Amino acid sequence: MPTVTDEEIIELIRNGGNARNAGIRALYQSVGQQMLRFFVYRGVSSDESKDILQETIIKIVRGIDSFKGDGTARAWFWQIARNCLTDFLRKQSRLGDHESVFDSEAWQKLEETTPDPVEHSPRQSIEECVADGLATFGEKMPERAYVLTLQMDGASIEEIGKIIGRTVAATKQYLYECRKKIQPFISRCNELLNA
Amino acid sequence: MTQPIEKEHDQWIDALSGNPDPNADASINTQALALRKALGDRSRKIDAQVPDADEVLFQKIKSRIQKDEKAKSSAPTWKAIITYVLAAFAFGVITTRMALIPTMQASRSTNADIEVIDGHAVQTVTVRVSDPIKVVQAAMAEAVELGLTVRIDQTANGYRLYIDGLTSYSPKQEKLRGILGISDSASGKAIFLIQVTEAKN
Repeated sequence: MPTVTDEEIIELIRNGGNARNAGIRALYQSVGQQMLRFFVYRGVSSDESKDILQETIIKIVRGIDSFKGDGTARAWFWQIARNCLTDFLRKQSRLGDHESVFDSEAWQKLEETTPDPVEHSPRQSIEECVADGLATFGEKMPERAYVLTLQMDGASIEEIGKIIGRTVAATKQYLYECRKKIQPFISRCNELLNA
Repeated sequence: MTQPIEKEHDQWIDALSGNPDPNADASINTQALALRKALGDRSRKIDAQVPDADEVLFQKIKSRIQKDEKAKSSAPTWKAIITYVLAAFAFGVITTRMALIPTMQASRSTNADIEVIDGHAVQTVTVRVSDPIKVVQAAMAEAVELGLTVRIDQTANGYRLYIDGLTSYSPKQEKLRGILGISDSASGKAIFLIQVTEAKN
């Protein structure tokens, strides 16, 4: 079955009528599930993720004429998704004062102000140790944890870049930084290797 | 030296993806593979909370989009009607309508011109009455009540009243025709230049 490209989705929605309905369905099928997952990984509930997805799809459809082709359509869809999530979290007061939109400068500032974890507790195996470290890391830096999950899932650098709104080069650098940022949470587990 | 560090990063990321480099330091691969397992376990727990992007949710979204579009498309029509109704009330039409008819009938004369509006030929009728303001008030109020499209502009010596939606031999429009001196057979659009000068007999 031929898939509709993101650019074709935009054209369908712009055309109006039945084409528009087909475009909206194709959009939903193309990004809906992935966006729901992204929202839940960012800490919202199942029901909240559906609300945010609704807002996202509606805003994409409403603003369809504002997409001028600078950047890919997929990146544009995800920008709107991230903005909707940010708006939601802000309204729910789940964003700290130091948090902002999901652009690279804001994330860098956030990470520079986030203190390293200090918890240490005895663990039986390296896997349990890493799992605990990851859990704490996921709470403090959910976006980074999600990106690592995507990498683990086998997503390409390009796909990850579209989701987080970065270029390929910047996404690769972001992954390098993820490795650095998770170290304080799991490097102590290396001791268990030698134990 | 950035090259070796970048290479370590790449090896770590490769191991995280499930493709460990056999030439990488053992600690890099071990940590990345342990993290890969932990990410997988965590992912399974979180994924269980992720709802399905199913047809029910899609229909809800589609319905909301349709409601939005209906609200947008009907808003201008209501605005136009409310605007004209408010204008009619501001002129105090309802209280003066019955008193106008003798005045209008006693002092009107008309002649006709043709003007092109939006590519259509529209007849222009000049109406000279002793009290143009009252004629405009009455005509606008009646036209709005009938649901006709009405526009009004002020001119140097009176008012320019554009009416669209006239229907020939329509009993409902009889009063409007009487106010403006329109024949029963006239239909469509018309412009009425309601002059402020005194009527000439």
